[in-house]
Formats: sequence, structure tokens, C-alpha cells
Amino acid sequence: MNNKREILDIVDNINIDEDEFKDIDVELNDIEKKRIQKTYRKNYKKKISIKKRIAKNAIIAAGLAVVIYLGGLTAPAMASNIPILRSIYDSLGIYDEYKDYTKYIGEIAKADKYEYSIEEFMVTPYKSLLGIKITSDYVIPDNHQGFMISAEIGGVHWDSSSSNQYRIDDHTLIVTEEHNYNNKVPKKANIKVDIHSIDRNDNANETIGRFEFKANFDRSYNEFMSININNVEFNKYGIKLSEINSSIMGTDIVSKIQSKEKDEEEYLSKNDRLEGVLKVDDKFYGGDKYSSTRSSILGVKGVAITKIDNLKFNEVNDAKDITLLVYEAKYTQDELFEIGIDDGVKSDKIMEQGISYVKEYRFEDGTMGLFYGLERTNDTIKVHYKGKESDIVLLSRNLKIYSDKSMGKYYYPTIYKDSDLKDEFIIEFKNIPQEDMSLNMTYGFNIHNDYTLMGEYKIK
Amino acid sequence: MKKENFLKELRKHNPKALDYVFDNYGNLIFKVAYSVLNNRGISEECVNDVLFKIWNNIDSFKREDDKFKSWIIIITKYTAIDMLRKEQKHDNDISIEFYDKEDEGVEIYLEQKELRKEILDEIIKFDDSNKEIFIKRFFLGYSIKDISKITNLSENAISNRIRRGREKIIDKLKRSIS
Repeated sequence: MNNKREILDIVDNINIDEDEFKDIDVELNDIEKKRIQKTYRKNYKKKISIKKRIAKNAIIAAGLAVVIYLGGLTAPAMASNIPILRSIYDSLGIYDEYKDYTKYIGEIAKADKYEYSIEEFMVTPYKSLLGIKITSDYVIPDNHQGFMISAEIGGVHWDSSSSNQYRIDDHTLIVTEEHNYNNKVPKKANIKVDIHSIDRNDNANETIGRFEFKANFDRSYNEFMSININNVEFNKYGIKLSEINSSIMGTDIVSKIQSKEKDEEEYLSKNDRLEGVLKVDDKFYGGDKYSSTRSSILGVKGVAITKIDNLKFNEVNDAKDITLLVYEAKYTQDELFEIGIDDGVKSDKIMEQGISYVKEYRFEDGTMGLFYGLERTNDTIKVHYKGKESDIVLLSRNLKIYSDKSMGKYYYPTIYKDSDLKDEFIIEFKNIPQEDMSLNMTYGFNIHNDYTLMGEYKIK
Repeated sequence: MKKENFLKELRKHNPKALDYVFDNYGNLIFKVAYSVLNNRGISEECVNDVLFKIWNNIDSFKREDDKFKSWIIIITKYTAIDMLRKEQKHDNDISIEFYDKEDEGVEIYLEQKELRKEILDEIIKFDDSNKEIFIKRFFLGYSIKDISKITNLSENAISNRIRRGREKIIDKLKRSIS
């Protein structure tokens, strides 16, 4: 337990005089108030992704048995054969599907109090995935602010990244870092990876671990396809659809941003309204959005990507028909933040057949969404959804099922339209363990948004 | 957001609940911070740090809802003193005035973050009354006189308890360092 947490736990029982400060004659002025609001709202947005991570960490830390295996980590074996790493990759949902694609690197770098070891690495034309073990002789505090991990493949530098940090014990963390590259990386290349601590109690320069190695990624790189999208522009948002890239790490809907807006934050705050949903044969897929932009005196330029983790190369490759549905959201994320509203839930959570879920949601436009007809058989969960056609944006982007017991792993649905009933969808989750699960659609504020179909574009 | 549900919403990480906290307690946090730091700019930073701590650590608040104000004041004071310690390291003109010579021993250790956990580990072992005295003295910056008023113990009694506890802590730290 770190000292700040302990302090907060201890002070919970301390009594003080609440009026002690009422006569201090200072108040925040309007400028200071606005500045503070801006700062904590920015911090809140960052915490959205970290919150997911913390939940996973807590679950893994609770699995004490895994700590026992750590002694075996020094053996130069494939990471996938090491129980602790296997269980972590498994919990991430990447082990089984990626085991034939990742390369064991086994390089070690030491810097200050940390030792970094690159355990696994995988590369596709626009993404890479690193599995890194970080150890220290000192206790790594459980509120450690994390590590910055940079990657460069054949001279192509990463543009955006997301990571998961798993606390194994007081001295060991496992970090998986997914990097995204706006430019295509080469299959066979010299690879540079830098890691350093970004914790406020560390000196970043002293904690830099540097790696340089050569690698050739045949399979993970080759199972990839890119489909160009021509002549689809949304000028009022400065967005031009560019391509669909699909690999073993998922599928991206890529758009180019070119706006006269001078400031990136301002651009996103006003224009981040488009949502893409892919209809692949009869199934619907959506995902989280992110953008990577740069601003200059000419304006904001970059890419916006909808990241669909559960749509893999094979399905895109085998599909006969792919259509991109583009929806316009009533509110940007910043506008939603301002509005806030309540959590959109009408009924309380119920437990049916070991699934905890909310049956009814109320939306901003006054319509309702209803889950019904839940069936759980063997390892499959099927549920019907009745709402309106545009609810597919929320369903495909937000709906996940998870169990705290299975180390925070998320299961994504297959969603298709009920051909007999208008505005109804059938949702199926497969390979679900036989334990209590939660079905959730309320993550983030998108539940309060209202979506209008702007166009359907045939991709394949 | 209402008074009745903002804590529940804060635990669910509803951002409107943090807005509610800032709207209703922002000035209080600023006042407490200013009372320690005596500087508007650093006090503003402190408000940000405190809001971040509230957001991240709301699960640590387990008391009745009406004690939330006390909890905020304590977090703010602790955070402000922590900031003052850091400022003092970089600026010799700033001094922490609420420690007397004898307490400097513990204060020097408190400046070293790796030793603070050890100090806390020792304080946790104290009985509730002494624990409160030490937290107030060394983490919340209360004077012996103030602690005496709050606890209804004489200043002498407080000083003796602090002396004995301080000796225990310093002895423990010296043993663990050597």
C-alpha cells in the first residue's frame, strides 16, 4: 500500500473543526475557476482509459497464486510458456489469437531502479504490440503513474498508443503497449524501443531503457488488407474517409482530417461528431475513436481512426459485402461533458441466468432501448434488443460483457439485425466462461448522444 | 446533481459530481490551501491536485456523507503541506514554521518520500488518540496548542506524547536505514 493511500485511509477517522477556515478572506476569481475547471475536466478525460486499466489491475493483483510463478521468469523460455505471462496475455484476450504471431525478444535494459525486459513483440503494417516486464528492487507504488513507451520501426515513428499495466506484485509490472502508426511500417526492420518512467517521483532521464534490435514479422504482417474509400467527404467537419485497414489486431476505419481551425482541442471540441459502423455481411461492428492531429498556422491536420478490436482480418477478407454506415452525433464529447445528464438508465440492474444487466435505457430523444429474451446455453449468451435503428452506434461501440473473476477480460458481441422485426437486433457473445457476468452499455457518456444516419457507403 | 446523490455519483465517476464538488467546495479548498501556502498560484495548483485526489480516492471515504467536508479539508491541508515541503526544497525563502526544533528530526525524514511510508507504518501502530495527534502534527501542520484544544489534553501531555512517539519513529527509521 502506498503512503498516499494510507494517509487517506487514516484521515478518514480524524475529526477536525470544519469552521476553522471560514474566515480566511480569499476566494477564487472567475479566471481561476475557469482554469481549474478546464484542468480537472482534461484530467477526467484521461482517466476514462485509465479507469479500465485500474479495474483490470485490481483483478490481477487479487490473483495471488500467479506470484508464485515469478521465479521462473529468468529462464530464457518463450513467454507464452511462462504461466504468469500466459495468464496475463490470456486475460487480455490476446494470448490465444496471437500466440502464432508474436516474437519472443527477451532483451533486457536496466536504468536507475528499473529493469525492463521486452518479452513479446508483434507488428502489422500500421500497429505493433509490445509485452514488457518491468521489475525493481524497490517497491513500485500501486499508484505509479506509468511508463512512457516509444517505438520506431524502420524509421517510422509511432503516432498514438494505448497501454494496459498489470501489477503482479510490489516489484513487478507487466505492460502491454499497442502503438499505432499513421505511416506504413516495413515488415523487416531495425526496431528501436525506449521506455522511461513518467511517475512524478522519478527522474525520467535517469529511468530511460533503450532497445535496438532487428526483426522480421512475416505472418502478423502479411495477414492484412487495406480497402480504399474514395470520394466520401464531410466538408463541414474537415473529414475525408480514407481507408479500411484490417489485420490480426483488428480493423480501423481511417479518415483524414484537414481543417482551418487553428487549435487541435478547439477542432475536436466542435467537430468530433462522426461515428462509423461497419456492416460486414449481416453483422455490425463499431469501436472507440481516437485522433492524431497536428496544428500549424494553416490549420489542423491528421487522422481520425475508429478502432474495431473484434473485427479481424479473416472476417474482412472472407466477407462478400461490406458497407460503412456513417452517423452524425448530436453532441461532441466536450458538449456531452458540459451537459452531463444522469446515467440514462431506467430500470435497476437485474440478475438473470448469471448475467447482471440493465433491461431498459432511456435516451435523450425520449426513446427507449430494451434488452429482452436473454438465453444462456453452454458458453453462449444471446439477448434481443428493441430500440431504434441508430442505436446500433451504441450497441456496436459500447456493449461488452465481462467478469471480474476472469481478470478483467472483455467479450465483444456479434450483432445482427432481427430480419423479422424492425429496429430490433440480436446480440450474441461466444466463449463465455461459466461464471457470473456483467453486460454493460453505459460506459462513457455516449448513452446520452443522439445519432442520425448521414450515409451508407459500399466498401466491398 | 443534488446534495443527496452527488457522493453516490462521484463513486460512479460521474463527471457532473466532480463539477458539483468544485461548485460547492472549490472556494473552501482554495481557502485551506491558501492558509498553508499563502500564494494564489500555488494554491490554485493545490485545488487541482485535491480535485484529482478526490476523484481518484473517493472509495477511501467511508464515513457518513456529512463528514465529506472534513475529509476534503484534511486532504487539502495534507496536500498543501506536501506542496510546501517541495517548494521549500527549491526555495530557501520558504520555511515550514509550524515545527519546533525537536520536531525537525521527523520533518527531515518526511521530506524523503521513501521514508514517509515507514513513518506511516509506525503511526498506524499507535492507538487512535496518538495516531490522531501525530497525523495532525506532522501531516496536517497543527500546532501543539491547537491539538491541545481539540483533544482536551494539556499542551504538556501532547508534547510528551509527541516526544515519545517521535523517539519511537526516529529509532525505527535509524534502525531501518542502518
